[in-house]
Amino acid sequence: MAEKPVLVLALGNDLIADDGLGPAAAALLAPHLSPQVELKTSAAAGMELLEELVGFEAAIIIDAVKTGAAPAGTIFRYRLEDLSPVAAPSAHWAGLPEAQAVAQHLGLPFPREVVIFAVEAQDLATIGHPLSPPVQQSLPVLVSQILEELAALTARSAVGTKAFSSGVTSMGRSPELAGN
Amino acid sequence: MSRTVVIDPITRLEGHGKIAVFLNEQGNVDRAYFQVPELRGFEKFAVGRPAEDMPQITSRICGVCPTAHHMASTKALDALYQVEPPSAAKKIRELVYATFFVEDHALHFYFLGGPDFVVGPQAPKGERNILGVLGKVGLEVGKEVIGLRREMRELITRAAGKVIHPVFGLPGGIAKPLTQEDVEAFRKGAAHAVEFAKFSLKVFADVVLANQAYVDWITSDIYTHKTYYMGLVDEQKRVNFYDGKLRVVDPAGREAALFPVSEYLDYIGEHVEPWSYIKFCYLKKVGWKGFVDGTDSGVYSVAPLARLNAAEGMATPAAQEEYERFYATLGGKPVHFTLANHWARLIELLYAAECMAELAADPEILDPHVRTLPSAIPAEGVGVVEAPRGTLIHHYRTDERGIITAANLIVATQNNAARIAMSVDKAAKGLIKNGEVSDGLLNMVEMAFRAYDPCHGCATHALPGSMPLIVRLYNPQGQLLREIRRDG
Repeated sequence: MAEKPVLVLALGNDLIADDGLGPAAAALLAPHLSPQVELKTSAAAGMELLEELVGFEAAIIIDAVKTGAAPAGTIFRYRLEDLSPVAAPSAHWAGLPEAQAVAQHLGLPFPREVVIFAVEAQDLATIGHPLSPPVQQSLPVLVSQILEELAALTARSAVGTKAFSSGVTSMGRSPELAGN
Repeated sequence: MSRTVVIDPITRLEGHGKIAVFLNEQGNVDRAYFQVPELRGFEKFAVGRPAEDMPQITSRICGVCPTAHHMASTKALDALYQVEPPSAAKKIRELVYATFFVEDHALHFYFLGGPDFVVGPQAPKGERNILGVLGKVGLEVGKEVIGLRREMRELITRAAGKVIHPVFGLPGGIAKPLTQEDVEAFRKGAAHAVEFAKFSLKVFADVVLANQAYVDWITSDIYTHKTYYMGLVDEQKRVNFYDGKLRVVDPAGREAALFPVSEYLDYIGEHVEPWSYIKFCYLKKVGWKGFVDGTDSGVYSVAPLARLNAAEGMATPAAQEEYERFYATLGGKPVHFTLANHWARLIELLYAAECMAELAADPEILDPHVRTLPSAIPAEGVGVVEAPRGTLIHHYRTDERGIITAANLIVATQNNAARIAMSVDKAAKGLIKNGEVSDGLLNMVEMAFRAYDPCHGCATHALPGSMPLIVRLYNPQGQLLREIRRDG
């Protein structure tokens, strides 16, 4: 098991307008994370995420989406199991549910819980633009929702950890011992 | 009644491709368009920045092939500063680049192309996925793909700093030499990669070529286009991913052009269509004649099949054997079957692996002299590599301080855009008759463009499990008549 049981994986590219949501949220979250939480940012996709996720008990993924079904800045919360099950592959990369399915088939330790926070984007195509105002404005609410979710996930993953590690809970570790 | 069918992804997270099908009065396909929303503003973003930042910036605009952008950009800087990297630096760049090809091509064959071929185009939808591939080739192979990929990525990190965004390319060379320990790791990785590539070609022979129904798909007219082909070649006109001249062959396989990339503007034109952001590349000397096949049409193609067609052979022995088998099996050069890209990709996988082995065995690769310091005043530079998805060109102009005044990128999918559009059009024409949209349409159209492995912008993410598609049928007044959804 990973040194830190919970992962926050912020996806996106800070060079491309609202795609920078993940990195922007990560910067705001960083000072508030408990020692049980590891924060990573990535601009990669699909099977690359498999490598990022393997070994954690639980994970939160942050990303921008364009569903076209809600105003820009709307925050969506999904659980991984809410997303489409494995289907035909994309034109380019496998998706997250496929990464999970592959991990399960191959016996790799995939997080037991994956919660996804996604924010409806306005612009995902203009290089060098900042976050759009509605996405920028969603950040404080997004960050507080993620911190609440993390508290719950950390508590649950600590229970899971206890069962596996004979009483040494990750909640009980001091920050100095947690490593980076 | 004329109608429009739009196959449109509902989120941007996986593929950005959008397919619009215009039906005529009889309900047959008048014309199908493959639209690619491109990232905007790159040129504007680049202007005013120091040229030496470009290998980092351009690798950061793409989450899929950062190593290709990094390398094309670094080579453009060599040209801009008129500096020749030392031989060891070139070899290390090429070694890293071959390693990247192994990783990318292996993943594509098993995880993306695999569902079309290893599982089969006619298999039930529920099986046409990665798990179906694993079911057919075995879980051990799945572990092997993941393991090989991790090993290749660790090697790239070792030599290039970061795998997601490499940081080792500098004008005139690279940032650090390799150690004996690095080279040992590359030798081990190369041996592993060669073995894996040979195994993959055997899987292709056993599962695909031994199945007449699959061979019939590959060679069917629906997936055939007789166009020009372009790719980088070495001095013996053999396939090269990292360096050389661009060679173009005509639909009969005759050499139509051979030029250094610095002259690309004389050879490559960009045609604009009102329905797409993408500029369609064509051969200037032949001219733009529309989305049509043949020697009179300037449409050309890039990527694995095109590279094999545009060359005279492979520079490594086992890949050369496979190259010969490829043409002997498919009826001689050039091969025009779009789906043969999957086989060509595996031959390139073997070439890349053998290339790694040769470079890692070369004693010069340990030479600590890996940088020639630039001293010339910069003005203009063009760099080219073959990205896994085809020819990638970076072109910068700067002031005398090296600040960018103009930038132009021609990416692989742009080179291929016209032919991809033609393939999608042909597949749609074969599958939509008298207003009836065949159930297999989405899959068959997707198969047409998946063979090219098109890159739909440079920051695709991974949330949904598949590329969600919507088919919309419109009447001539633009009113929605019907909608078919596939949300994943």
